[in-house]
Amino acid sequence: METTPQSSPGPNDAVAQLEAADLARQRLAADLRLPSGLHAWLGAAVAVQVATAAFGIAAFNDDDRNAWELVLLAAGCAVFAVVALVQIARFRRLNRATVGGWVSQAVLGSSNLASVAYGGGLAATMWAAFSDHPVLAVAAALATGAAYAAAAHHWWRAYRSDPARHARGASRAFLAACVLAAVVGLVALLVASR
Amino acid sequence: MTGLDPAIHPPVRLQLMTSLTAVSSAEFVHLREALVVSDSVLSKHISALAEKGYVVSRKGVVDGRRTTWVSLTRQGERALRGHAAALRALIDGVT
Repeated sequence: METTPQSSPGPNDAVAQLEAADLARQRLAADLRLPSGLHAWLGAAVAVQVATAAFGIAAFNDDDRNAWELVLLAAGCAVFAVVALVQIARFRRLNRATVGGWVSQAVLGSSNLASVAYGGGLAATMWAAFSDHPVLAVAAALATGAAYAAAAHHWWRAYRSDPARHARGASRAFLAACVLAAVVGLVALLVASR
Repeated sequence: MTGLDPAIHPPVRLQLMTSLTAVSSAEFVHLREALVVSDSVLSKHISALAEKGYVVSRKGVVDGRRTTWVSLTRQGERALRGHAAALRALIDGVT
């Protein structure tokens, strides 16, 4: 079954082979579609998660702290997790393919743009929540969601222009380290707010 | 044939492996449609590449139907890069 070429291809054959291979890759990448409403879902989930985290931690800072504040915090994380898992499953079903880079960079927000949008947005929302400006906190959470969704859209455009460069996702070790850092950060915020 | 990998040399295999660099994994059916080849031809090439450790295929179930997922291995990526570099060298008249 193994094919052993008898002779080297000429330069023209080599050009044709590389072009055909690139074309096949571009065709496959171009056929991939995002699930409908993806960015709206993602932005809304991030806005909910950021808002619940900020309000939950700020409320936990009060003298009359209650268990619901922690429940609120956990609920926000759960909303994001469910939305992310559903979107990943929809993408896979729609395209009959998986793209690790899309999952880690666009959905889970490990791209530079998404990380800055999320980090900055969370900081601004928490500042507003701690300063007792609830309307401002909600606005900051919504802006964070919108920026996160825009970062996901930006990643997708970059992927479509150079799929091979962006297809690979972050390693499991890196993602595990990110989750660990998030948990440690959350615990540190809770401890600091007591 | 300096640098050219005989296992990747057939055009369908080069196209298959190059296409797989755009995804983490793809369903057999999707690849068959993208490469416009028959089930048996694609299956034969995947088996040959899997034998070399360049791709892996695993069975799965999607919406109740059995399917096969194919992905490129790290070893396959390296082999593909080497093969593509050898083709470019041929184009540049280096060899």
